[in-house]
Amino acid sequence: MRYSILLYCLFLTALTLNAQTFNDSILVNERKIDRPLTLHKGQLQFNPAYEISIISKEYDNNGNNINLADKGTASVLHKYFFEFSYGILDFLQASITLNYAQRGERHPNYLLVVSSTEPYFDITYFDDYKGFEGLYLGTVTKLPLKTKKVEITFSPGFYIPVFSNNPRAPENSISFPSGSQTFTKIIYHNNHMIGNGSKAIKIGTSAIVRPVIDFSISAKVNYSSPISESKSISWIHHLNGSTFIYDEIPYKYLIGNTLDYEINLAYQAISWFNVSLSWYHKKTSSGWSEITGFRIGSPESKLSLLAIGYEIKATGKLWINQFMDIPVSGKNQLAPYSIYLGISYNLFPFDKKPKPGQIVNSIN
Amino acid sequence: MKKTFISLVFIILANFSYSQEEDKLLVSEIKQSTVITQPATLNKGFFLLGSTFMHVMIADKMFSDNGKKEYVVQNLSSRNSIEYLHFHYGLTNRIELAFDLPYKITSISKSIIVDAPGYDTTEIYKYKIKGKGIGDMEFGIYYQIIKGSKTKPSLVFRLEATFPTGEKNPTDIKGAWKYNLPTGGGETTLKSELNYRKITYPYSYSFYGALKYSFGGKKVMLPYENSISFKSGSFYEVGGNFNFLLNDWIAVQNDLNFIYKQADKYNGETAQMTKAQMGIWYNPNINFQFKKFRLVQGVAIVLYGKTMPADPQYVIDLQYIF
Repeated sequence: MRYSILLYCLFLTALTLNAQTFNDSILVNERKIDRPLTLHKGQLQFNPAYEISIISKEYDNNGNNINLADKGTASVLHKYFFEFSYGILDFLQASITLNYAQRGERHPNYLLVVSSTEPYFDITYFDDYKGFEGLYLGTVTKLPLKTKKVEITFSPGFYIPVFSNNPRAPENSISFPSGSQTFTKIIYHNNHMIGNGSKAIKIGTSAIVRPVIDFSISAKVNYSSPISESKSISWIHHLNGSTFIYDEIPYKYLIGNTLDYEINLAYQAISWFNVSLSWYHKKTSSGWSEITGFRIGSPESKLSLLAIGYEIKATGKLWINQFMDIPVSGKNQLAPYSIYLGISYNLFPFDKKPKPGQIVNSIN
Repeated sequence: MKKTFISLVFIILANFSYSQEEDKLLVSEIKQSTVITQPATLNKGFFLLGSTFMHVMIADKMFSDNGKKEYVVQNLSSRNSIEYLHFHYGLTNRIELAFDLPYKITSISKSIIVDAPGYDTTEIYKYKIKGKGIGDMEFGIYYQIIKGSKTKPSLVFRLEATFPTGEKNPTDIKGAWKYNLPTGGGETTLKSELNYRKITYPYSYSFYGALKYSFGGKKVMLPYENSISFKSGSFYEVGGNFNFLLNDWIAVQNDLNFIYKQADKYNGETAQMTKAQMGIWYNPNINFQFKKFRLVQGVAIVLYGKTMPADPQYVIDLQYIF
């Protein structure tokens, strides 16, 4: 008898340890294509990701494709994404996003020949971009439609600059002719911040339609606009011997208004594997800058990307997603070929586990 | 006493037979075993057909002599892609034969603006040199010194030889920046490695150490120069990895290793332009298993180094076991 009680206690303990919450089982059984556009109530989602972009082309003002690799000026952008989202209600979600990126941009070597008798100048220009983008705080609200075939959401939010957008002083260097070096070598190494340092408001909407059981078509549109003008500094220099002396000059600027949209076609091949094809377009206009001392309008820029990707549900809580972006057309924009690899970890941190033997009778 | 002894022998034999039974796997199970659970070498009669694509956009960042990671600010774009075809065969349950065939695609581009205001001229020069073709083939033999199982660790000795089958000299030379880049190293190398692995389902970990010795050769380093004798520096590697299954068909591998390469020698002298290199690499990858197919995606990241490129390498690997 005592042995039976002991076994029963062990059995109950094991049940308690292994018990999943009811909401965990929702995630286990929910395919990517069936997921609502907002998180479930109480669901916490952490989305870290890494993206590498090979920037070997750019689009000029007329939309022509310029090959940067042939000029030796191709570059690599490394971008790290961090996003937390929480389902406040089944139709209301809050999100915080902070991204970090870095890129080094080279330019053609510049040889300045003053005369045939004087040493020439070998000048190298290099631009170093790195830093955090603005912190995004936003919500997503879902319309209370009574069908799961169609969902519509609204997503207002703010971009807040939490890090300084003032670039660090340049790291220029100069070496004069001496010994085996017959020329003057100058390296202009300028530093830039990735973040635009501006407060901006974003409004967006998205919709998904599930016409058949394994296909979905979704679309989202976002519009962001600066709340006010921003300030930053630029650097000028003069040479004292072989030492560069830097002075900062403040200037004002206004970031442009940005409109972007994405159309996505997704197919749930099997319960844990979803493939998708997307078309993304972004247009920025109406900004200006006084960095030159005069207020000059920023040129309009456009970029269209085709993205193919997949999501694998490794476990009920862990999803792996990967996308490849291919630039299709653009104007005044770099044309990045990107590979994005992200994971999504989901949990219900405040959900109570059912007691051993308790049957949860809940309907989503 | 005699009966007791016989009983004891039977009990021990029974235990042995039971433990052997645990390691019996169906052929389909062996073929579909993941990178965590697979045997340390291919089982007898099994083939592995694989393809590995490695891409690196080199010359973006470098670790300097004092270990500082910095951009290469000079104008230069360089890409290096290698496609490996792997053919492996399990000769016995302990011996695996390997043959790897690389195909290389390399390009280097640069541009210069020459401005001579005194002569009222500005010229833009663009240069691009490419190379593509078969690289240096590799043959290997892997031997399980200690035969591993689900419960026992394995110890594998690997011996890999590389032969200079790829073009070692610049070809089709039409100018200092107009020629085809070589796709081969131009020398025979021999690499030996010891690898210890233990499976503790759903985890596995291993430790390894390797040494690669180069036998040297003769080749043309730059166009319009005579060929010189050279010998690449010896290469040492120690590392370990920790791997785990997320589910029955997805594994995450984490490999951390330390490498050291001696400076190369040109004409018997230590080459000034090729200094000794050292680095600590972290290679995370995700390993998808679809029945007999395996897809591996990873990025090799240099965490720290001296006198070596700091650019990450993107690796995609497709394997089929039959």
